[in-house]
Amino acid sequence: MDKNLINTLLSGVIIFKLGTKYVFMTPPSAEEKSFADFLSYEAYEDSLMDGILTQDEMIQWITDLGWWSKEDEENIETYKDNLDNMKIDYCNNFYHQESKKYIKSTIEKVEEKLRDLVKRKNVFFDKTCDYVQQYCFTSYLLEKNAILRDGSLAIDSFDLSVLFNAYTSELISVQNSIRKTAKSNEWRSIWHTGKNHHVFSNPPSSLTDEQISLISWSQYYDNINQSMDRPSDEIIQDDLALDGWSLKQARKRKEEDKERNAQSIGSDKIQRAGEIILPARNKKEVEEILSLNNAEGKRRLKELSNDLKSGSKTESELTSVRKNIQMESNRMNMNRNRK
Amino acid sequence: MAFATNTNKRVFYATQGVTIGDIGATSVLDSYPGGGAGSTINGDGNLIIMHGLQSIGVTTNFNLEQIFELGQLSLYENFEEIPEVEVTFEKFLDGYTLAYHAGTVGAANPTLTGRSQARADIRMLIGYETETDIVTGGNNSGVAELYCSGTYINSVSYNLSTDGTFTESTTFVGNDKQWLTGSDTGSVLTDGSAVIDSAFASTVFGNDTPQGVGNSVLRRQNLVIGSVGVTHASNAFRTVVPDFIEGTTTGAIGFTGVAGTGLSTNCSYIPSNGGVYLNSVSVSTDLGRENINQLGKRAPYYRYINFPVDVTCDIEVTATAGDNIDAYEEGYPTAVGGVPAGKNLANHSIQFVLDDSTIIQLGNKNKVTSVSYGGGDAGGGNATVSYSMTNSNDFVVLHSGDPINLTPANYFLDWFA
Repeated sequence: MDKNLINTLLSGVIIFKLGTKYVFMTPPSAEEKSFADFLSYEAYEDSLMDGILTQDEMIQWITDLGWWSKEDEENIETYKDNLDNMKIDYCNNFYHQESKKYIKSTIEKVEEKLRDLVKRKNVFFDKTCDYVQQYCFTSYLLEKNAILRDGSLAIDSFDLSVLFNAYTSELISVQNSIRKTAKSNEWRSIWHTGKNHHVFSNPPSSLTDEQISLISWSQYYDNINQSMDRPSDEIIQDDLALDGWSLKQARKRKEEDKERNAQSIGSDKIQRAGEIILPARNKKEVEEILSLNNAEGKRRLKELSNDLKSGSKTESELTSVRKNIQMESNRMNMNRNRK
Repeated sequence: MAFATNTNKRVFYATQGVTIGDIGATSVLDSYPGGGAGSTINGDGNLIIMHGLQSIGVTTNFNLEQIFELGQLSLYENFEEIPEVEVTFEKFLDGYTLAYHAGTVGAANPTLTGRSQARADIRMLIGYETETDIVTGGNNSGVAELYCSGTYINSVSYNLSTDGTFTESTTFVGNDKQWLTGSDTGSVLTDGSAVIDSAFASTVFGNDTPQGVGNSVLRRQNLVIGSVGVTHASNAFRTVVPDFIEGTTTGAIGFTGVAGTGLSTNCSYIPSNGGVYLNSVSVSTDLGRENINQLGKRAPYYRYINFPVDVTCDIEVTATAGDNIDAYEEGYPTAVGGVPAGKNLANHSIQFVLDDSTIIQLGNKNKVTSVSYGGGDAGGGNATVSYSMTNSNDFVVLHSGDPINLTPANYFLDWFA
């Protein structure tokens, strides 16, 4: 049985155990976070002065050593794109059990590869200024807000590094459960009951990152449920499928935006034209114009490019035009046979 | 049955060089900047580089005719008729050559009939392969030249409005469209090594600026009003509008020159000290070309204009009084102003003069087809009067950058004298 984290998230208090003692990490105030920011930035600057590398410099260094490469960087992007596409496929094949199972296992493999790559990229993160800054920020808050049951500061009883490790470990487990919590019926009833009120124990200014994340996910599920094109409950409960559905909607919206932008160009006559040619003065403008093409437009551009590789063509020799003529001919034939 | 092979599947292309010019032209000429005293250029054999273009629309229609025979269910032949290509240009008025003029190089004179037989080649540079811009003086291997040959001007319109830039919209029709690669010997805008013609280098690829007065595109202040007008080739041209518009005075003369005066039928200047407040003007004509085919040829022998064609002019003014158009079922009982007895309407001269040397003459026989009085709502909107006028065939547009082969003295005239 999974641990119920609703109360943890409502209170903002992360509880973990060290030996026989319970440690309560209470939500820091905005003022405390502000000072932690200040201190951690100072630590960052100091470490920079001490010659410690930033994360960007570290990546450059491991690249120079051959431990990381431009291809690895590109692979990360490729894996992310592939994951998006596979999630959409997973959603599309949600009711085909075999395909769904196969896609899911592939997604897991790609996620594993992506995790490995990211891990390799960040292998020396704990030797960078960025890590120092993060560590300093969290350590300060732990020192000030981690207390024992008797009200005493935990830092007086435990070493900072011990506190830090136990806290971050507990934090990760909380973070991993946020999405699951956001869609649980128990949380949704609390969320809806307190929608116009503040449901958390701590004031809005001192909401923890986990509480903010929970709010985001809750709003996400609200939007899904209110969508005109609401997916089935089964899809909503399946994170992979719902990610796929959201990606699909986002891409659809992007295409529609493109279409809408494109439709507003020029007079009625221009808008009715099959090909719209817009003057560009530089590369950026060329890119902006070409980005107005939807998937079909991009396909036709690609076909034109392929056609022209073998030299000049008349309009009727273009692949896209021949296809259209053939399709129209078939349609006319079909209509005739129906009569 | 005609169907467009590219509608509903709209493709956007970027172009960095557009020319319109003489049919069969093999050299490129930059647009002549107007704005000065009247002059003309000879565009014979040249493609004129267009400036101030906003958008271009190309629609290609293929005509299929299915032919069957008795005893066979499948097609006997799917006959493909000649394709119809329509190219529309939208351009700001900017002092440079008008698309209408660039598309009628070699016209006998600037009247509608004079321009009716002229045919134009349209060529534009389109990058299809990469999202890089076209470079001058270097190889552009991913650039195609879209070539529409032997087109005819089919519609023209000018819009002059108070809240934007003056625009020109032209549509050309033809039957030919080719995509030439950079190395094609038929290319004109690029040479055999896909290098862009040097005529572009100093213009559209250089520091291109409008050539209207003050190096600006034309806006509301560029319509010439008042009784003085502007002089081209020793002839004075003034904006004149129908004299029924509130605030006008009768007896204006739109044209004064060594050959006499003209454009003075029931019209008025627009007083420069107020009284007539034009909001917008729109002038347009659709030539409705029809094919004449001949035996032995697939392409039409000629695409003629089915005269008479309607030329419409819509004028919107801010209302300072009524619309001043009376309608009697039996017409006016006695002649009033220019209106003869038994009629409601008179003929009117119309001419619009812009300070970049563009002159739009609509002759002396413009009549009102409709008038509407609108606006003036409770929300505080101004009342406006919209007059729609029409004539037949009287449509002349003059401009210093017209690549017509006429001397200024034979060009800047009252073409309805």
